[in-house]
Amino acid sequence: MNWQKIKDKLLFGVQFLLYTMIKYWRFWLLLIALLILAWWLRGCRDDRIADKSESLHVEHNTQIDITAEEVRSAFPVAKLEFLTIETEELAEMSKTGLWGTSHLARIYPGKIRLGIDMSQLKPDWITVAKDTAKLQLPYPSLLEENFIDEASSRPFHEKGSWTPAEREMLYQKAHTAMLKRSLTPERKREARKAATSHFSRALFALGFKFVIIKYN
Amino acid sequence: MNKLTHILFSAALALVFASCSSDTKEAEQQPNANKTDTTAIVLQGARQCARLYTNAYEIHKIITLSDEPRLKGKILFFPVDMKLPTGDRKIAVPIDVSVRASIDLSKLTEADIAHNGTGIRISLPEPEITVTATKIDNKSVREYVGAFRSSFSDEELVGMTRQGRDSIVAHLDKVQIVEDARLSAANTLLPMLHKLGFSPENTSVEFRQDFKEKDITLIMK
Repeated sequence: MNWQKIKDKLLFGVQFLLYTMIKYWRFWLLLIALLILAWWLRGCRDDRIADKSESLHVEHNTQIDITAEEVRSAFPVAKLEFLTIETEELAEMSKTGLWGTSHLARIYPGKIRLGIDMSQLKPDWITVAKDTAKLQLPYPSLLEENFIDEASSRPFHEKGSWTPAEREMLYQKAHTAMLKRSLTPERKREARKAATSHFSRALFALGFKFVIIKYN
Repeated sequence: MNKLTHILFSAALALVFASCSSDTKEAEQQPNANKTDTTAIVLQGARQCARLYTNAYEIHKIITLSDEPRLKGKILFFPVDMKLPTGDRKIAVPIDVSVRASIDLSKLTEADIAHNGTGIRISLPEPEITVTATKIDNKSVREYVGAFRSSFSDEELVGMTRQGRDSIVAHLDKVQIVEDARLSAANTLLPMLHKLGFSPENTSVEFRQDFKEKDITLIMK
C-alpha cells in the first residue's frame, strides 16, 4: 500500500519534471548553462591550477608600505645586567555591549632585565687599599621600563571590535602583571647575588685578594 | 510555479558562487603548520648573566597599510584584475623600537685579561645588538574602514608590527652601532680600571676582531 503511494508520487514527480522541462525549456536551458559555468569555474580554483597567479582569487594586501624610520634618540649608556627574567603573560579583556559580549586575549612575551645603572654610581664607588677593593653599589633594579616586544606577541582570541585605547589597556595590564610577578624580593636577591659573584670574580682576576661589596 | 523557479535559480546561483569561493583545502591539509614547540617556553625563566649595555637607540616608524581587495586571475582565458566594490581599509600604526648594543662579559676568559703590576690589557668579545622592546603607540593609531569591511584584527595588527620591526632591524647601521658600542665600552671600563689603580698609560681595552656586518650578532627577543 505504502509502496504504491511512493511509486505514484515518484511517477508524478517525473511527469511534473518532464512537463516543466517542455513548458519552461528556456529556464532549464539557463539552469544547465549555469551548471556548466559553475563546473567550469571550479577549474579556476587554486588547487586545480598549477600557476597560482592564474587562478581566480581575491587578493588582499598584507604588506606594509615603505615608510621612513626615524632614530629619535641615540645615546651611550652604562648598564650592567645580572639577571634576565624571560616571561610571558596572557592578558585578556571582555566587555558587554549591545551585540553581546566581546573578548580580547593576547600573549605578550617579556624580558625583564635586572642590574645596575652605572650612571647612578657615586664618584667614589670604588676604592682600593693595597690588595683590597671596596665597592659601593646600589641595589640591582629594573634596567628597562619597556621590556615587551609587541611584535612577537601572539593574538590568542578576538571577538567584537576593540578601540586602540582598549588595546593599550590590555598592554598595560600585561606589563603590570609581568612586573608584579617578576620583581619579587627573591628575584632582587638573586640579582644582587649575581652582581656580587660577577664583580668578585672580575676583581679577583685582576689580582685583588680581598673584595668588599656594600649595597645601599 | 514562481516559487519553484525562484528556488531553482537560487540553488544554481549558489552553486556558481560556491565554485568561486576561496579554497580552504590547503589550510585544512596542514593543520600542524603553525604549531609551536612549547618546550622552549617551559624552560624560560630567570637566568644569571653579565652583560654591559653600552648604547641605546630609540627608533620610531609609522607603519601604513592600504588594503584594496582585487579580483585577480583568468576567466575564459581572459586575464581579470578588478577592484572589488567592497570598500578599502587603511591603517597607520606608529611603533617605537628599542635597540641596545651590549657586550656579553660572561664570554670573557682568563686569556682575555693580561695584567702585570700597574698595566692591564683587556680583550673584549664582539658587541651584540638586541631589540629589547617594540611598542605600538596605540593612542596614535588611525584606521579608516569602508562600510562593507571589517576592522583590522589583532592578528593583522601584530603582523604589521612584526613587519615594521623587521624593516627597522634590516635598515640599522649595524657597523656604526658596533663602533659606538666599542667606544662606549672603553669609556665605561677605562675609568673603572684607573680607579682600581692601573696606570692610564698602560691600560688598554681591545676588541677581539674587526667586524664586518655579516659577523654582527643580532638578537631579537
